[in-house]
Amino acid sequence: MLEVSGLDIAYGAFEVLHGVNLVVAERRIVGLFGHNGAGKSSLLKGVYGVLPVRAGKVRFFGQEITNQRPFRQAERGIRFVPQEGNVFPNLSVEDNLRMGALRLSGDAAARAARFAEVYETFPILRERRDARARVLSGGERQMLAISIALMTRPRLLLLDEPSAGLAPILVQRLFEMIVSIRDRFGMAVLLVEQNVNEALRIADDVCVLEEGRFVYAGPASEKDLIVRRLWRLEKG
Amino acid sequence: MLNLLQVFSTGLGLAGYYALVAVGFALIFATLRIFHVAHGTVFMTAGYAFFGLHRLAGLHIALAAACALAIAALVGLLIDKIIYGPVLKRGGGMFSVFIASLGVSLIFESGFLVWSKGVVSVARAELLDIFIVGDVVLRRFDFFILAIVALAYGALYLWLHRTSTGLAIRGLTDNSELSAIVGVEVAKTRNAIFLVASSLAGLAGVLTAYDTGMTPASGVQTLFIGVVAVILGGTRNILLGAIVGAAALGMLTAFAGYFFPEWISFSIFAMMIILIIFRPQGLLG
Repeated sequence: MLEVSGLDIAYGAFEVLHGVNLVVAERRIVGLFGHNGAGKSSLLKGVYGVLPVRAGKVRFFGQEITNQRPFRQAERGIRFVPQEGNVFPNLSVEDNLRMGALRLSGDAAARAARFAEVYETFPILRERRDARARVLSGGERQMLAISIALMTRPRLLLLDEPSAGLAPILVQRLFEMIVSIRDRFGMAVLLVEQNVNEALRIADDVCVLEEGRFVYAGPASEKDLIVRRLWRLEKG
Repeated sequence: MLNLLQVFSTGLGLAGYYALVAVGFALIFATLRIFHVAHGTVFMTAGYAFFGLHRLAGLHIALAAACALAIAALVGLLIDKIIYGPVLKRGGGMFSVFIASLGVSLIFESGFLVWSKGVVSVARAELLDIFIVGDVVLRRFDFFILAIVALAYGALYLWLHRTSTGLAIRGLTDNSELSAIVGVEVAKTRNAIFLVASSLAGLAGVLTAYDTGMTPASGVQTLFIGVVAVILGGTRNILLGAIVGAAALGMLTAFAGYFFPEWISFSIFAMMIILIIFRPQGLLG
């Protein structure tokens, strides 16, 4: 469904991605690994139109969507959840979800159905719907961040280090939750993670980046190979 | 004898003007991080347009006021489109926009000075319509201003809390990056913000031209009073902050004017500096 080919992204004169290729198939969870500064987050931002793409193409269901603005990507069925600042701290939980639904087409009934679906998936958010997002716990905030994206029922979810800052016990729960929303909503997930071991348990496919270049793509079952690649990177 | 009630009622009348200018400035600053000095220009433009259309062109007063409002809204929007937009597009930051805004403001100020040679006023006999309660003299016009402010704030509240544009604006205030990511069309929302904020400044400008008259310096003066009101109230809650700041400042001005009239500006800006040092988040924040 998502095809990235020959992607170049630069901050001014500083190139962060050079000629990266990546494919995400429907309903797959794809882990995107690499150490700090490898360009993982930039790749997500480039796909979503938050960062300008200098060269290369992004295709979604065969249609070219390179450098289109985020609201177009949201309408098309892609949603991006950034690593930081991923909720509206001073808005209520319900207003956060309404923000998530701004690009939802359809009538009030369709809107209500989305709310019901998200509240059913995360009952805690229904309980806390009048609370401001900043009073939520770390785990709840991460649920809210993902739920904001789920409001338009995307076909592809781009998650940027969702486990960052969570306690280890919560990290495992978070990854289980990602699998269960993938199963429930039937979407693909492109997951950037530092927490490679945990992420490998849920990933179907893996892509590894090294200094902005793409060095491995394949099934997650080749765990030893992936870990060795990353290990070599960490050593180097 | 000290007539506190009289000072209080004068302060309330002033607070009305301040509130209309301050809330628009706060709206633009909180959502777009633009220090819109030329907001005062928009205010002044409405006053001069009102004067020109009514006094010089002879348009009916209500029609002239409506046209002046529309002109103010348009001028505000165009300042953003023609000046701020290109500055930001070329990589200019908040400071460049501020300087550009100051430039716009000075250009308009000189323009109005050349055109009007001084004060213009639309004042009419209705302003003399007063009534006396005990030993307090009240102007009917002040009640009219407060009613208009209440209506404007009510409409703004509904806009911000009951419409999707309003939701987008609250989102932008809170987290502008995430707003763009979840799909707020920032350019469109920006237009709405400038149109609404400029109409409110225009409303204050028309009322001021009618009440005390406009001078070429009124724009910058009023803008800075609005800015201080916003600093006082904070931008966490745009509406409440602006009204609290404006009310506090209206009272301060009235009291300073009563006890030591030469020190009005001193009191306002001394208060601003004290607040910036000790409570930079504003009284409410």
